[in-house]
Amino acid sequence: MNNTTVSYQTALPSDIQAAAHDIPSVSPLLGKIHRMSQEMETSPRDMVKIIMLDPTLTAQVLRLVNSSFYGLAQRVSSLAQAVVLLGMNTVKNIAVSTALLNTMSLLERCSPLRPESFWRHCLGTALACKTLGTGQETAELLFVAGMLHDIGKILFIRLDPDRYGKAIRESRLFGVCLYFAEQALFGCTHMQAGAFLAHAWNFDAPLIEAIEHHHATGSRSAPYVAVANNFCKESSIGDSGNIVVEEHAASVALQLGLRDKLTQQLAASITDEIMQAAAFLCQPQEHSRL
Amino acid sequence: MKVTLWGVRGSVPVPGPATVRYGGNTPCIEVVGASGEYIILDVGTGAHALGRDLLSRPPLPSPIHLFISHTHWDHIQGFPFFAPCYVPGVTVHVRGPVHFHQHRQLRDVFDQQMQFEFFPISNSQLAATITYESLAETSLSVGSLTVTTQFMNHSVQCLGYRICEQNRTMVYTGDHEPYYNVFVDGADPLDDPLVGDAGAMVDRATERFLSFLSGADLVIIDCQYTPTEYPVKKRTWGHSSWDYCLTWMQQAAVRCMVLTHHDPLRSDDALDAMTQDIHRAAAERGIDPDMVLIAREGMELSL
Ligand SMILES: [Zn+2]
Ligand SMILES: [Zn+2]
Repeated sequence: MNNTTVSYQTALPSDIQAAAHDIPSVSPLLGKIHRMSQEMETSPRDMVKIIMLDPTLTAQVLRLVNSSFYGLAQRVSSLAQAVVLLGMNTVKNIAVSTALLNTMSLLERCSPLRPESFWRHCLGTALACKTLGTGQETAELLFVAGMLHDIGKILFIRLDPDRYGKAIRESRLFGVCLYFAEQALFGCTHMQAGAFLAHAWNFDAPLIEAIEHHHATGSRSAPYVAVANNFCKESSIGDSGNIVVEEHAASVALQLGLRDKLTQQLAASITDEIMQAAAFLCQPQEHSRL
Repeated sequence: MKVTLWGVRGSVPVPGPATVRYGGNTPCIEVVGASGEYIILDVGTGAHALGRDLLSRPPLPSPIHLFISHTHWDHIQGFPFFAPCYVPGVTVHVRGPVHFHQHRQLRDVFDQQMQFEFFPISNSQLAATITYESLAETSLSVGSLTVTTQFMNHSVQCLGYRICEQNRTMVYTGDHEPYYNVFVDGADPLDDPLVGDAGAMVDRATERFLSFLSGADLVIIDCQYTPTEYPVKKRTWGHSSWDYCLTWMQQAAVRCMVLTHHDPLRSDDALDAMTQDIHRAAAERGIDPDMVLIAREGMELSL
């Protein structure tokens, strides 16, 4: 546990801390799994390792393998066995879609925001982050950081959806960033709440940091998230509840040499990828019943 | 049951002077039951000639039961060219597995290959009544025939079909590679608890495969490679070699085996030479060489 962690943990209101314990966890391996889905060369051994690091995901994959989708007369009791019997591609596809689905179902519970729009915002930011960070070793981290940067908002919404609706209205009324209204109404910001949650889920320090500093200049991944977040807002990709375009993001983009990358073409390709992901996740009941 | 082979080539159709004797069309097998039940296994490019043949000897069978081993091109590409699809009043039941990907159903895959960029007539414009059913491991009846399915080992979900008529049984494997230990690469002994006893899992999967073939009178099996090609260059490509086929033939007490899905680069002469090797090896193992056949377009088998 590092120092940053301690500082916000103690600063967080107790009702927020309590709410954090009720939230189902997102796979800490989301990034690894996402990368696995994009790459050909993951070995079966590495794939099994990655999935097995998340017991919930492992259970979900096995449940699906044993479901009527495959109708196997024989019970499959391990991931390795599933790979031997049904093949690497099958297990990979199941793991990837399940991990994404878990994330979406978590994001779905945000009544003051349209769940689908909020999910688009998160995925859009994740995809923008990944593209902007191309060539960075942390591309995988960037994707997850983008996907989960607003996870703190879910905490607020679970705690008190009406109060969060009020925060959104007030920030719009006064034309200020949503986190000011959060601070006033919840006693902390969604960055702090999100970092707290990420810590409770045992996420790595860089990811916690990215979530905590995505509205500031920060270091490492945080500035990418800040730029990607702002870009999605400007390009009307999804809805984070926050309509204020942040000035500092433009200067961060300039500093990182990203300004030329923030094109309409990028917005179009992200929108396209979101559509594909949406299609991927809109599954017949049989498959989403995990 | 009467079985006729209309396409025996794997991967891609290869017409030309080097393939005139064995044929260049991709998999398509016609199976007709004693009471006229009409089944087609896979609709590779061989389905084109089959469709024309059916039109030339009316009346057309209906319903036509189309079972697809998997949706790789070489196994579905003949569908838009299968003439009975254009005949009003004919019913075609298309069944087969779909891969767990973007949650497409079988119908979506067939629609896709007939989108306007690929084909001038859309799937929904076909005059025949066509139904689709995505299959998993199951068992169903077609008239007096029982059709049982089991997943094979291929790069995409692939079903083998076991068809029984009274005491007669045939099996078509579709594309199948021997199960093998996929975890041997870069083995780190520390990982062993993670992977478990993969060797035993492979053995169990193989046993399951053998029980699917068990006691069949006829097995039409993927045999794209030779024993020299397979372990070195073609592992993970999703196909078998003839030494495995012979082993399975003995282990599963199969009466007659037809080796198919020939490699597109295998010329007629090369297939002749391969046949000699196979027959020699069969004799050495105590298998009647006459019971090991090399698939050839137009081959008819009765059982
Ligand atoms: Zn094939
Ligand atoms: Zn295939």
